[in-house]
Amino acid sequence: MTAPQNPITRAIWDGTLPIKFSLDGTEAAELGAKILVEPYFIEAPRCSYFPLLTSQIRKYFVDMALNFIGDDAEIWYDVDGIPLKWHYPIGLLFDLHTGYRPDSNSPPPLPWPVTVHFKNFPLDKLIRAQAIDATQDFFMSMIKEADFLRNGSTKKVMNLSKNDQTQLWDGLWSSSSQKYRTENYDRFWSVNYRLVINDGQSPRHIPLRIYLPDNCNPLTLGEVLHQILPDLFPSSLPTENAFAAPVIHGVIPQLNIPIIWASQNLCYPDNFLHIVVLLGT
Amino acid sequence: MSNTQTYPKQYPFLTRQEFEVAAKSFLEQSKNVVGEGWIWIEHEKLKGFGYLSRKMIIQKVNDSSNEFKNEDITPLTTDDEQFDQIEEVEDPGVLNTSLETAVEYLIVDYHIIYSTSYKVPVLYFNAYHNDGTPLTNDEIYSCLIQPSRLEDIKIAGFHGGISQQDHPTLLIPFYYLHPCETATLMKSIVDIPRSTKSNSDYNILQNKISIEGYVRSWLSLVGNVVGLKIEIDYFL
Repeated sequence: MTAPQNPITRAIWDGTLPIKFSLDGTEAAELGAKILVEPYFIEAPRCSYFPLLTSQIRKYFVDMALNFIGDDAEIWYDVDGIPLKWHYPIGLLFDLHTGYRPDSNSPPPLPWPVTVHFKNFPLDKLIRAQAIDATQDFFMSMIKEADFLRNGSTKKVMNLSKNDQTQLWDGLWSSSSQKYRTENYDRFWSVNYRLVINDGQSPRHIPLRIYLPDNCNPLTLGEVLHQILPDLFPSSLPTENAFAAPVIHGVIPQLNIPIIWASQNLCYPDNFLHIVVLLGT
Repeated sequence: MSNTQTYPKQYPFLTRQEFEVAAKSFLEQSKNVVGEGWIWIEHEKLKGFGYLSRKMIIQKVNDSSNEFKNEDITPLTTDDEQFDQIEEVEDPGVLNTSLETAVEYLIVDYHIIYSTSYKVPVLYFNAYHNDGTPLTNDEIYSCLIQPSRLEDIKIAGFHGGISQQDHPTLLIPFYYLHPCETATLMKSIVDIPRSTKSNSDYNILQNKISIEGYVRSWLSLVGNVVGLKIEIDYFL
């Protein structure tokens, strides 16, 4: 069975990121590197995972200089000192860590600089056994969870034949090979198509995850009003609340101001934010 | 427990609000059981993402004479002052050498967290040696899992019923028991009418377990696997 020709899923499958892998200098010296090792460049598929690249990265650095006989699972990656969650897809990690806005005028920070570590695996920050098996395990539990969200059970995934399961993973696993890109796309999507199309049934829920920036201020004035007074403020967005308006110091403030900012700047001398709600116009 | 009971709208599933009621009822019940140290922790920033947490000290018994499984456990209830032995491990493949080996302890953090996807509680845990180093994957299996349950765990799911993932609230690695069979399990226990009739959580007409009794019933089924036993006092 071949995958249906879909230019969108194909373009996403073909999406790549140039990555520049450099050694951590201190570790390199500890591991016997006598020379400064040149970085290693890979054009990695956005849909792939770091552990699937580890063996070739390891080979390069060991061939060049390193005296490393440990397991692939001890190797890990960081960006600006933050360990990369290897169980996230590479493209997601790039979007998450660079914070690069595609609508900005500046060029994207490419090739993406990533540091490779051969020592000191941060057990408190990363899921361990960064290895191909563990990646497959994690990938399959995500697939199962998605199936559960769509159908209320994991039957579709659990009922996949052994051969189909292998095809799904092998297609993805081999996706970093430029040579067989079409073959791998077909292997993966011929199985995945049945899962995402869901046999033509509309899904109960859509599997999705939202990633918030660390420094985001989650609560705005509108959200607070919406939480406390859902009848008066059916949405936290200004346009849909036309019939109720909050008034502070004789002014209707914007609903998207952070509540912390409002508290620090708009409170009365008694430190309270006094909000009068007016109805109708 | 003669308090009023309510029932989940979509048993065996819980909504997040129902989970919070279930968890807090369990917390109340735990206060009547000697030595239980559960607490409720809220998310730092977001409302409605709280979870139950408990730290326990568990005894690990080394058994160096057995190469097949070189460690074996004897779980204990473990508030600081009271160490009651829960259960002798009975496994014909394991020699009983507990008398001649040094007693070691593990520190285990148990968290009960709601899964938005599976709509059931999930048991998360991390285990440490008494010097603070975390257990390796192999040690989790050899020091924490009841030997009699090892096979069940290993064949469950794709690569075993226990794996690591990011803690949904703390975003650091934690072990967890796969929740994909939890709903089936919670359903199966109310589908057997005879043995559960005497259980006060069980409502024959509704064929459900109450929200208030959900966590203790669920935990009595899954907790044992990873050294967390639910005292009978929870059901009295």
